[in-house]
Amino acid sequence: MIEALQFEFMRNAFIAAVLASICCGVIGVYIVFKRMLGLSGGIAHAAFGGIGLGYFLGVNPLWTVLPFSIASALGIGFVSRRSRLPEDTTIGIFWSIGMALGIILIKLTPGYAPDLFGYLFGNILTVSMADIWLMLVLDILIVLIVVWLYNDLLSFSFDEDFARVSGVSVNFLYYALLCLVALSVVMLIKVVGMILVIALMTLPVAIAKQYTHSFKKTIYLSIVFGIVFTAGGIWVSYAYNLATGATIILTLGFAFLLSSIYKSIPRQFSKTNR
Amino acid sequence: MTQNNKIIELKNIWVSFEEQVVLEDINLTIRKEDFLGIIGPNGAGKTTLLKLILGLIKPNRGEVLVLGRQPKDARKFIGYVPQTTVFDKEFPISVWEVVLLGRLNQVGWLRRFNSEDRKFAEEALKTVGMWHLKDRQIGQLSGGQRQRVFIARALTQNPKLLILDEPTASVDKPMQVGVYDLLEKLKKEMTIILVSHDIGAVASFVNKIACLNRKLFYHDSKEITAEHLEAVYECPVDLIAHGVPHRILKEHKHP
Repeated sequence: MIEALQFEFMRNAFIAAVLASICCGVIGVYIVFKRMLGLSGGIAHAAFGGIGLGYFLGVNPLWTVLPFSIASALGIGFVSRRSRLPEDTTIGIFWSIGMALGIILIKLTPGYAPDLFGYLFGNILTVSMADIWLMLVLDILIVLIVVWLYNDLLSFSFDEDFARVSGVSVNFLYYALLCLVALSVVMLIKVVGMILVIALMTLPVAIAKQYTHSFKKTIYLSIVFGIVFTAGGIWVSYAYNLATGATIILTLGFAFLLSSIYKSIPRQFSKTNR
Repeated sequence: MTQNNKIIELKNIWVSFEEQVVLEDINLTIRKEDFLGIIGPNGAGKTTLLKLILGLIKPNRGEVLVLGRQPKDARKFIGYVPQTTVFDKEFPISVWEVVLLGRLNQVGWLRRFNSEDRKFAEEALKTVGMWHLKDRQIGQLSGGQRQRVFIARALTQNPKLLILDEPTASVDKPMQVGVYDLLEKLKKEMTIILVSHDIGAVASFVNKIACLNRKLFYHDSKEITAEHLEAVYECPVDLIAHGVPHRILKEHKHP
């Protein structure tokens, strides 16, 4: 393990794991507790259109994914709030149209599409120094916004009706949160790929919420669990030469399973004791 | 500025959604120190009426005045206790945090609470008798305790008007009395409007009753007549003539 750190790509991978976990913990709690998993999944998959656009225009797809994701986040949000369609129908439409657009654009691009698999399923071992800087900037932006609007987002997530009446601009928060999800998707694409992003954002929170009833502690614990299990996943994938993105998710999934089993045991004991 | 102690004035209000008339020619004046119960079956437009008063929707026709101004501008004087039948018991938030969030309309651009906000939150929790449970996670409370916390959250704004939407919908029968006793105490300090489909419970505590089913039947008193209820519930009902406290409806069959 230690000797692996002599490689720059391994050091970058672990730095990326820390940066990714911070954003996952901070945004993941809102996805989980504001019940935005469907919306976030839609944004993440629609982002494929942005990747296709990058190939088509011949630029680094990460630069086209950013505006594309923000636009599709605002689009999904606008349509699901304003139209009479059920929310999940709207999500499904954006989800598949974004992906279809990506496929067409990639097919229209002459030649071979390099790294396509990496965008879909991620490869944290290919994270470059430039990627790390981008992740750092996005992380700082996301954390600053969430710290500033912490109380508003809490009120909005907990009780939207009351928040609206007490003068919180819920529409602004709704779109702001969707944009934050879009930003997170962009920064996580390199780590686990757009297909697996949602798992990375929600699994650490799902584990953390088993151990605390405090919103802030859920965020902190999610970050810690994220770092531990993402790093663990990188190590497993390195040791056994497995796909990193998928291994990270499976590690988190396994941790969630163990944690759930662990949490269910003491309760049964205390029941029999009573 | 509150001419004749009028807290709310609704004049010739019409509301319709997609060609469907939800509220029809509503006229209602609520005065200071009123404790008004609005009853009516599900889908009668009760929540719509509250939304009008809160300025969340606009009438197609008519005028709404709250404390003599537009509802939106009067919101800071209104304490709102929303319906809480759908409620995430897992949400990681403490009683104290919930109540403090009631002060969110008072904070500046930094969006942080100060000692004054905390003082208001503490007072509100003490008023509803929930101070000792302030560190409890909200999902661990009983329905009645939770309702008190939500009332406390509304009280942090020092409201002139308290609006409750089905305040006992998620509260066990024995605990409902506690909630109403609390409102009894609060009605000395503020105007209260509560909406419910539970006629019996409402009738024993409020001092004025309005019946709503698209149209509003209200005589500025606690009087409700058999015709009103029949019109509202669209089925024949018998009233016990003397006093409302125990039970105002006999069993009856819906058509």
